[in-house]
Amino acid sequence: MEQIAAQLANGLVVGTTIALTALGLTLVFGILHIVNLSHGEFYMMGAYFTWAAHSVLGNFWASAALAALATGLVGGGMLLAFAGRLAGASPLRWALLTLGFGYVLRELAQLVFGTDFKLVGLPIEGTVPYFGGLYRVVVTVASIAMIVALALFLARTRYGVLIRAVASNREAAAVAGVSAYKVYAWIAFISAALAGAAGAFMLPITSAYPTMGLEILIMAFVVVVVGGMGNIRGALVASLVAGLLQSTLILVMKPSFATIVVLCALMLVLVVRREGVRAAW
Amino acid sequence: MVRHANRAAIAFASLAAAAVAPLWLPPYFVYLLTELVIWALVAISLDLLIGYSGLPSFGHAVFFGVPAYAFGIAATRSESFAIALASALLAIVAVSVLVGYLATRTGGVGYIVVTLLCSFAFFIGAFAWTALTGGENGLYVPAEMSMASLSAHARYLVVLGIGSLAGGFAWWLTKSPYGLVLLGIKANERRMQAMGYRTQKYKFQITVLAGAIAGIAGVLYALVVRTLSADLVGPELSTEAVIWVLLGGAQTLIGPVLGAALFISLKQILNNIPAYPILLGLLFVAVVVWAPSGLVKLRFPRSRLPRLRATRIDERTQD
Amino acid sequence: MLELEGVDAGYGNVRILRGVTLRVAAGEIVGLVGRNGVGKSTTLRAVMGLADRMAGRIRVGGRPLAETDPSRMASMGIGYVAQHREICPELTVEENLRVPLFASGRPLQRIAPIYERFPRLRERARQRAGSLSGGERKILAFARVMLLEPSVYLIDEPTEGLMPSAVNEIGTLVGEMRSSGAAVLLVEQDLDLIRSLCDRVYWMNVGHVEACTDTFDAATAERYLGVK
Repeated sequence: MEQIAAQLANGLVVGTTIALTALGLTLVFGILHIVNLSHGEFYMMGAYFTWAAHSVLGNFWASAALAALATGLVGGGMLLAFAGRLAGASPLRWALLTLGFGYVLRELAQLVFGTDFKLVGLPIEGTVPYFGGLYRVVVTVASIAMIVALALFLARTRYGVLIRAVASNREAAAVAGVSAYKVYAWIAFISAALAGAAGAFMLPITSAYPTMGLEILIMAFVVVVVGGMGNIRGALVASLVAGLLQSTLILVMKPSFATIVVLCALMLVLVVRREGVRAAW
Repeated sequence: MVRHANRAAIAFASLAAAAVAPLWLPPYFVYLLTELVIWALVAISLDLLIGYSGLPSFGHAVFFGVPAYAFGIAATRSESFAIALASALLAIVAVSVLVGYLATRTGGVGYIVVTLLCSFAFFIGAFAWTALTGGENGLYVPAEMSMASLSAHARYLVVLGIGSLAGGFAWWLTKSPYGLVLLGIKANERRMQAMGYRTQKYKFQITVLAGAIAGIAGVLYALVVRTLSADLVGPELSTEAVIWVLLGGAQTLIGPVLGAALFISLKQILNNIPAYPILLGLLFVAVVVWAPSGLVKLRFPRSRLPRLRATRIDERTQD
Repeated sequence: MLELEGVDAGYGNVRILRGVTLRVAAGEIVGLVGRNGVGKSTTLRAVMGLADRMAGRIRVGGRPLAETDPSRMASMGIGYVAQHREICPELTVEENLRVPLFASGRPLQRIAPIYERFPRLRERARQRAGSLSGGERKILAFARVMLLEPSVYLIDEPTEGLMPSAVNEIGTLVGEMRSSGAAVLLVEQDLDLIRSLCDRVYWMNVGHVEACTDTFDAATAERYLGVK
């Protein structure tokens, strides 16, 4: 019983990190029609920026917040810079473009920060039954709060309605006076900032290294595809499932194998239900 | 009719030239050329998907590397060339069908992601399953099982011969009615469906066919280069192959070959420059922005002011 | 008031309009009629910036329309009802109505009179707009545009695929637009509607306006539409 509870708890923690990253990815695909293969590098940026800010400021949470903002600006800016030129372009072109971004960002990280792991001490010590570290609990709660805030923002606020209008029918929104460009800017920023926040939160746990983005990208992408590209609820559900699966499997096999199994399992879902989880909603 | 004859003449002439070129080249260059033919075959098979069918395969290395590994593993285990070859053939079929099925079930963008994920999954598998694949150290195909006994020139001719056959088949396919159906599906899948074509079937079939051609290239690689590593199935090679196609020009078959040649040469030259991945990344960006139709079809684009307009002739069908 | 003078327009490399010239005065309903593919929709879209303008001049309210960004047109007093995909299907009816108000910073109180005028929309306020019938969707599209009280209305084949009672309703609506003093450019294939509503009719043929008539005779109709 204890084991199960511990596993559920761990799955929740892992799942919310995936969810935070996947959310940005699915937003940017659903609304901007961009396949962002550098999204993992936004996550990486969040971690590195946090480490850098922390060495100056000393306060983890302030550093994390600044890092998320910075990532939002840099990452969002990169996407936005090409959004005009590539308007209407096929996903293939975007995939390739962002692939290029990824190469550049990874190499830059290596040049600036080196290849060794950048570590930061746990900002909160202590443990909690079932969950393990108190820090992980706090971070999970914070992530959930961010996700809920985003959902509320989209559903209830004035700007949220405009964003959803553009996502639903860009032309109808435009002739009603909604500037797609501004919406795009906001979505690009939010998407990158979410990934940056996820990276920031993970810094004390995994430390920062140049290839950390690639690892999370794969999982985030599976989750987004299985959840239905552009479907927020689907992505969230799939993230939780992936998190649970991953943390359970790690008990019995090598982490890399666990990842493969999770990937296969999720792809099986794809095969069984063509549009992923979307059909259920 | 005349143009076709001209083209055929040119093709034969180039082939003949390619066949005898090694007589004047040092062995190292012959070796490079041999490898290039193998990569050219991969590029051609990918163009069948990207350029002619509108299927953006980001995991093409799987079709290439898994049969190569299958051959290598069977070769080291069984000491029988026939068994090794049979295993490779089995792998070609299995992988093409499996990945083809998974990828074509999710439309459009799903194809990109699923193929990419397959490549990643196999990459991790190749790395982690040390007992089977040698993990980080890789796998070596024993000399007796390969073409090591042949001279460099002979090896080159064998590869060129097989490559030309496979490439010729691909070319023939694109000119055939089947190829036209593929182009139709690429241009407007719904319309093809409305006309009664089972587009899913075609997409699956062409993925398997293209995968098979890449698999043949993979076996050739195992026979010639003999060193197998996880890179052969991974996303890095897969995405590089996409660059070859886009750089050279999709839907031309010859473009991707040139793109591969150019890119591989560039990589060799730039390899020594520190931080060369940045250059690589910038090259990707440059290709996407300035040569979206590839070098073979390069036209200077009319100046287009960046604008977000709701209506634009949908490029989704044109890449 | 809307004026087009020698306007060329199209999409990318394709030039569809060649030298289109027409005028719509305030308080006028002007029809734009022609066979499929002659460029009627493209004319409206060229004004809205949804098609590429390649030559010629456009004036709204006497002033040149240099703007090509579609999202700025509403603030310039131009309302557009598209032929297809005219509303945001994932949003509710209420949200669809809020979009133009949020975008322009106008108060939500404006929705109440719209619900008065269109009780069917009020009934469906919380329903997903995509689940509305074709006629209801058109009404919603019109309501969205009317919320901002534009001075120019560009309307693209509003009655396509609608049943007769819905067509009448649309006709009444368009008449109300004229009463409010706006200039209305109406693209339509329904000749009866054109006959009953339009003060003038422009007849298009292959990217060009060829004739303008006050009244409507069978010969003209046959020449430009191929019908009696």
